[in-house]
Amino acid sequence: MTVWAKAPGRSRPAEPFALVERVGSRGLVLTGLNDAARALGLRWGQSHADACAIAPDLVSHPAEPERAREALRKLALWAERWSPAVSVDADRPQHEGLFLDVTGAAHLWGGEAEMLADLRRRLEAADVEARVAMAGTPGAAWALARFTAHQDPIAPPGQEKAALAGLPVEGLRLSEKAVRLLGRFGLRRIGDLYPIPRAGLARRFRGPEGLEVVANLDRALGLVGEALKPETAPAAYRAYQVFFDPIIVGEGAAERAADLTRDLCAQLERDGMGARKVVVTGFRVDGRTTGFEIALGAPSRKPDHLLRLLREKGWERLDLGFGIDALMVSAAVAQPLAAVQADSEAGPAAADAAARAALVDRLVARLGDRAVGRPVLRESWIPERSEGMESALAAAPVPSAKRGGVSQERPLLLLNPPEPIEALADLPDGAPARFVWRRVARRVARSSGPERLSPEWWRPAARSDRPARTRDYYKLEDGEGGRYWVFREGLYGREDAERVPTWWMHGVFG
Amino acid sequence: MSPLRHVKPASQMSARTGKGPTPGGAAGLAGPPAPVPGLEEAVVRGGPGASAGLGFHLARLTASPRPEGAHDRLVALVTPGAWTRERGRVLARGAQRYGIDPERWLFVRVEKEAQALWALEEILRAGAADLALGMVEQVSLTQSRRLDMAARDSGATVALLKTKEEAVGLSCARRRWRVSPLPSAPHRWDPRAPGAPRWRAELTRRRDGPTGAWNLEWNDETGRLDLVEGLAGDGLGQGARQVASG
Repeated sequence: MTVWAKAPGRSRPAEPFALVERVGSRGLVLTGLNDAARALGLRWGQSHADACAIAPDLVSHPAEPERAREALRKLALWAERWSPAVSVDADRPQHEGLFLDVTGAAHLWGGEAEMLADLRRRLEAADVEARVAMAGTPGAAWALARFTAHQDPIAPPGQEKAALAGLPVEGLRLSEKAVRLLGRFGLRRIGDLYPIPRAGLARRFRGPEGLEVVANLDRALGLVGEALKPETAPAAYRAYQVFFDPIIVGEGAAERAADLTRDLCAQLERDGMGARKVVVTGFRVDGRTTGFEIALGAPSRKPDHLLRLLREKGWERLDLGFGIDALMVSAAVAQPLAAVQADSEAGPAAADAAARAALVDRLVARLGDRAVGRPVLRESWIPERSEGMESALAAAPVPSAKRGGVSQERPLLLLNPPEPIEALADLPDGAPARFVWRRVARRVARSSGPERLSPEWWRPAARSDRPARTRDYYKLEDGEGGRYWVFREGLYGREDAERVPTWWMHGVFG
Repeated sequence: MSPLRHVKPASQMSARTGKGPTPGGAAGLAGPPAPVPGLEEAVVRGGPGASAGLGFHLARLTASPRPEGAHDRLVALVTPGAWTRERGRVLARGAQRYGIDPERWLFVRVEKEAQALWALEEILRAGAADLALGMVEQVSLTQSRRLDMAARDSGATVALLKTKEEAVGLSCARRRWRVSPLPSAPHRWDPRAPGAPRWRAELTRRRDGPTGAWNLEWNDETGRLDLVEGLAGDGLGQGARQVASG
């Protein structure tokens, strides 16, 4: 089943209003109209000058396609209250809309007609001018929503052919060229195409238009499937509740969400799954959604844990606006989770791993994904590249015997980026005898090195005009016991003759 | 040439039970007290001081005796962003020297000190860490008491590393250290090279025994902190005297 809704923008219906856009050499062209403007005989694609001649009191405004697209996307998120799979259909100017895959969902609203009525009513309440239709294929619903006169058309299952017969061929989502071509043969209604053998149809209209007609007809009649790309991946587990009166207080929403979370956990428990990502979505009465999500390091279906994370993240993130009339808690990512026994038979190590996962979840919920990490060792000699930080939410790394590849001593603290120092060495290629770091002069008491690290030639240099140079690392100790890791970048006279070798402070030992 | 002897942390028993002073603790003959669950503070000087304080705490964690059957828990490090920019990031490879496996690390980066205190408390309450290190300058009496209680409940040590002496105010810390790097002895195989890390650790305040000051050297092979006499490099420190065990 597909429900289709059209959202041409918001305006007061009383006065004629149009959006204008500069299109190539044609100058300003109308790209959006309200009903009042349409009633005056204005049409989409008309030049602005012509329109003003017909309707001098036309109010126009520059079109903002980016904003319109964004608004449609937000509306798609809001429409997830009817179906988890909502896709935006914005490829055809003047015919933007949404597809809702409502397979198996209609009974929740008490039937298809009731569902469609609910959809239209809420869109109207949210001040969205829209037409809705329901049919067995996206193509049929598309045509019904645009070209039927009566409200809320529904094509009964398997009756698409009859429902579409009287509609104009434009309903097949054809290009202008194809419509003109069909018109030349007197084929104006979709029903006119039925008696023509399909092979003949494609052959008669040579070229891409012929194929387009056949393919779109097949799609509309359900002979060929049509894949829709949902705006967000449909969540397998969702708990949803509609409120008779909109909720405008944050605490009220939090309380309801807590109930829904318990419901969600029960669903997960039944299927032996655990949530890795939980999304809270509030559906506002003004046709927008509000919400936030939490990510988990290990799948969980413990209501207390999830609720604590949600609280940590903050219910105040729900921007209720004029109120929300529905709330949804869904597990956007779920993974199998074996049933765990309550007692600690698994041993302290397992209990510890569970505690660790729960801790990481809480820290991430409050501080963000990037703030919590664990070191990851890479096979590289270059110190700053040899070790990175990965999110602690990622699966724990498998300890590898090979890991590291560096047996030399490394400092405890690594400065990133290295800081330039002034160093004085007894020999050009030797260790420094004294150096100045952060405006403090230090005399070197002991030194060891060099440890020579060649640049990794298989990696492109950060700046193509400055190839990476060899680094000679020294461990220095000053008279007070500070132990430093410095390096000289470049070899005297042997490498990159134009640039003098430079000294850098890269780290401090414990 | 192995002139140093490992000194058993003097107050293992008394520190855990919290009873009575340790004989010889103040004389510098016994080693520094082993870490106890609870809050500790350490004042470190800028530049090399920060990594000295860090190394000292990691070394103590590895050197301290652990109960039978205990497994390694996390070592958490909570740093404000400004601290990392100023002093650098911790290299897990560098910490391996002090016996800390890279898998044990949990790095938490925060923006404000209040977040750091919250994160430290969460880490302790989760009971998943052996040691939580926080680069926090200011802590109130109430906050320090909360941290101390959370740490004792989970059997972990939480250490706040401060860079300013004046930042140490009223707090519930069980121990208060002042840690600074010491010149190392010559390397065993190369007399011109720096040897094993040495620190001077002064215990300026202690709730469960007398204070003291120690010169310590990290021993890679035994994974222990050895006691060295006097100031290293002054002739005595060349070999470090044999010291009596506490």
